[in-house]
Amino acid sequence: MIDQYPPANGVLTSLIWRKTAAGGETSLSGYDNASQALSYTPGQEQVYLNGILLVRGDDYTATNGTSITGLAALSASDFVQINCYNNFSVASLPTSGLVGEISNSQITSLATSKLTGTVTNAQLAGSISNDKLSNSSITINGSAVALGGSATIAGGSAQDDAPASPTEGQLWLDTNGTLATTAFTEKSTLTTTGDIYYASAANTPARIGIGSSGQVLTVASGIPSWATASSGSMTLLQNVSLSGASSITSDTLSGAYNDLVIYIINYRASANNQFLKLRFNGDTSTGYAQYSTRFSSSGTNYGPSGSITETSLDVMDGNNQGMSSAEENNIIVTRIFNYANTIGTGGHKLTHSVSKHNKSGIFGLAQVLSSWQNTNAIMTITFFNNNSTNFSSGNAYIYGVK
Amino acid sequence: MTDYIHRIYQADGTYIDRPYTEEEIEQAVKDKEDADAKIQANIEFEAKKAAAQAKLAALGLTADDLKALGLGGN
Repeated sequence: MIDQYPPANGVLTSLIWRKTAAGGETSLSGYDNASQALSYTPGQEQVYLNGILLVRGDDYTATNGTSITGLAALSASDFVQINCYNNFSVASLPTSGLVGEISNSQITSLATSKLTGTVTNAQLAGSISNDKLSNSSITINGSAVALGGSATIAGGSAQDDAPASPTEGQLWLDTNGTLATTAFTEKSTLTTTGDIYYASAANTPARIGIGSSGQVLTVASGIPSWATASSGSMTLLQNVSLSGASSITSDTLSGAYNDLVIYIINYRASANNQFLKLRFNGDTSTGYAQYSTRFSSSGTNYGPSGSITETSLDVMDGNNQGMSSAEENNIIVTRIFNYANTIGTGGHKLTHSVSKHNKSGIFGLAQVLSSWQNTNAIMTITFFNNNSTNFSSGNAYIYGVK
Repeated sequence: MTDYIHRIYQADGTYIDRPYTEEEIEQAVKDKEDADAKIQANIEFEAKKAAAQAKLAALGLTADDLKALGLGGN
């Protein structure tokens, strides 16, 4: 009988040694009827005599692995069968794969060394459910991971805190599972400050370099581009600070627009009873004409009045009701129509000014219609006060209007 | 005469200051004279207007009464 069985996770194989006795033998060894040599693992053999299992130690002795001794003398034609069981290790799995399920209890441990070789798609048919991957992370070091088809990441943290300059091809996620903005730094189509992303064709990313100041985004030949607005736009041409001088002249104005609009904000002079005046191109001739009215919150209104021989233009009102030097929140808006006109209509440039200004706590609302008759385009605008008093504050924002 | 300064802005936002030329000073004086004349004319106009309104009041009339008669401006 067997008193030591192979380990439970082993696999048994056996040698069946059969011998017909000549008579008188008390030990057996050597070759059987089929010329197989007797070889067994002591304790893992079974000895049958004429079909009856003998008892080790009582009926026989088996200690050396090659012979059975201590038998009662055999009779001629007695038939002895010795079943020899041996351990063997698993050298390889069948190439056709394992069928069925291997439970956790059947795999108590895996080798501590890394798995080598390749697991092919055919060997991983089907899917691996989450509950089969209860560990929270998978670490793959040193090799690329290719994801065919789509990959879905449902929140969580795949890789947080992307470095400032990730290596090309890296993919970093923030803690919300969204792509980190720095992840694309080196592969981005956007290379320059101000670049805009667009598709130059289906599924073809491209960039548009930033346009120049005042340009607008438009469409040409079916793709976006930056261009100077052809109509409807206002472009800030100059911001002229009104302070520190008696008269202030703008830089040379571009003639590329239709009209000029001047917003004069918070204008003040350094003395009382001043009012703002304009000259174009430094012209002091009597080519200016104007017609003005003024409403006062005091109830005393002025105008309308007009003159066709002025040497400058009033933009607050033509009745010369000045403002207090200390009062603020004055607003003047002047539009100069067709300011680059050099032909026709005697070269007249029409202007319309509206204003709100303060004097001794009383505010006035005024408008001035005026013209400058000159065949030159307006190239510069000079701001000054009626008494050439210094400006103390204000800004004149000069816009070009398409 | 005050030292007038003329400031000229440049495309880059800087500016150049320079004193008025003789011609500009003369123009400044003329501008002031013109402005003062207009202010004086306004003062005189307002004085005449007030006197006329006083006369109308003495007659028991108002500016609206004159307008109703087709006299006077708006």
